[in-house]
Amino acid sequence: MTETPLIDGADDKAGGGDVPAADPRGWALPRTVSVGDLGPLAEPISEHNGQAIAVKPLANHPGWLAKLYRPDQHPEDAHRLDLLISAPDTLPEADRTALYAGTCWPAARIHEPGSPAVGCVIPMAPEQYRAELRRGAFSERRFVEIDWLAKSDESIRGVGLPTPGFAGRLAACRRLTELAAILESLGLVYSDWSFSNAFWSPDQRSVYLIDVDGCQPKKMPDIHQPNWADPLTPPGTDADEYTDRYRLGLLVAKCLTGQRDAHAFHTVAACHWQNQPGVSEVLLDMLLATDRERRPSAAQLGQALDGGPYLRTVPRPARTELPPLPPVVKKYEPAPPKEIHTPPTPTEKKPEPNSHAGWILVLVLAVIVLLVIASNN
Amino acid sequence: MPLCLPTYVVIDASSSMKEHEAVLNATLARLHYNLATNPRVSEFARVCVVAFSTDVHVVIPMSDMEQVPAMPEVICGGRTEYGKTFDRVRECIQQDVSNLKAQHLEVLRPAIFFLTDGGPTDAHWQDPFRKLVDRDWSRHPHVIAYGFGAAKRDVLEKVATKALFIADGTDTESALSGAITGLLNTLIASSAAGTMNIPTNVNGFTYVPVTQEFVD
Repeated sequence: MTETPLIDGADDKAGGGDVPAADPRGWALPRTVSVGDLGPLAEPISEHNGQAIAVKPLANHPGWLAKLYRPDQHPEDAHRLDLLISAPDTLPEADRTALYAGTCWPAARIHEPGSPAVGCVIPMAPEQYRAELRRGAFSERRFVEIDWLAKSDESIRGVGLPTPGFAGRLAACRRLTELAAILESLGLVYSDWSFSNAFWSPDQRSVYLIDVDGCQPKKMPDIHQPNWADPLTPPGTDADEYTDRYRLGLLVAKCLTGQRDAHAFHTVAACHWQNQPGVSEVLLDMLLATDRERRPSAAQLGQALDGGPYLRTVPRPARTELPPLPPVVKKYEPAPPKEIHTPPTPTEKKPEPNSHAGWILVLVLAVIVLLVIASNN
Repeated sequence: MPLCLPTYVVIDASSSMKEHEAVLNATLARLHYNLATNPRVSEFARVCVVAFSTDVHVVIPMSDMEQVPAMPEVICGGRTEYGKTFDRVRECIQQDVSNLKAQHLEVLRPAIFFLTDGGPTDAHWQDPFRKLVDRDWSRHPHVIAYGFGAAKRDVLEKVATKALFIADGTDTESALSGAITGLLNTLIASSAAGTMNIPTNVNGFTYVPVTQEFVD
């Protein structure tokens, strides 16, 4: 995939002064709007989450949300948001469709007098990404985070979700990688690849990336998330496309194997998926390359996930060792219900099995065999 | 190495809680559901549930709650013995931290969520408590306390080392629900941040800043 340069869309123009095509997702207003243009805002569906102080549905525009930022946003954020909003105009049709279908890509920048970027308008995640999660007597319909795909089929079944199997995992990982490749082709850094920033539809085998309005061209402050730290991006330095490649590799390795810790690395190393022969090597290079700039791209991973070869123009990177495996942990065994004032009942001693019974059985069988042999002679 | 927060939910199950027993169990079951259906929270916050009255019972030993099929029921009754509880929790921490480290986890300072509706009935609870939070003990935990009903604020001000929440006159059942929601929000926020992060806005409770806060 070749890199597509971003085009400034601040004046609702895409490139050479053309009026941008209407948003295929149905956003009816311009790409820059004032808070007043949006009409009434409903009660927030989320508050104080990351850079947003609130995310509120637009009462007059069903399916759309106003994501309102904290007031400490950098003034240049308006320009960055405009670049993001217009970026899909530069993409081939298929990539644009995939980006709009698989992310909450911003549709408009929200401004106020004196504040050029108080937030942005984003689409609500489609309903297909919600499911009923059941456990015991409780059940709740909510968005299914991709976190679940990094669990075993048994765990997924345990909350009442359809199990993905390898085919479902592969399909979801292809969609994730496709989106990552599109961002990479636009020269954008996401940095926020993790379990909490993508939804998964077990029925549709698709994924939906959120918080993409935080993407920045080329590099951005590294968003720290526990267990997602890139070992070759030192703390305090910016995240770039190579950081994204590591995190994408980590996410895909976990989702493909259903394992969350070092087991995911070992499973990838041990698996040679017959129909995707390049995947194991691409993922290991993404995760373990000692030279971060030689990590394979999202497009290379996508090709391998589609069954293609591991194509590269440079020699393979050297790799670090696989991380050590944690010891096997004894699974929790439920005790009987705990009654605080009930003295423990003495356990009934099982009768010792008769140790002679086995020998008698062997003896009887031996006699029968001897009789059969004797009768045949 | 993955991060892990050893979390102790220490619940008063004395006779004063008897009339709220059903709500207590329903609230614990709700806590279990919320943890068991949030893989990254249950992976980060390994939880041990302890119920105390005249005796101390480890209801759930330190576990990834996703692996726990259901929350056992707690039956309330008896006195409110703080001292034994602190001794038992200290033993648990000593053992659990070693086990978690052996699993190649990076273990954060343990967090005790202490929920009570009354004052201690034992006179000498302070020595075990001092031993538990002794800074010279490398595994000393943070204590976040929730007091409701007849809980004694002056006592809880001594027990809480990280945060204190005192019910603002709400009934015990609503307070229980509020406390568990606050606990859950703390675990969710902490799992996202990778460090102890306590939202101070808890329904039905007033947040009391703690002067005795430890430095991590």
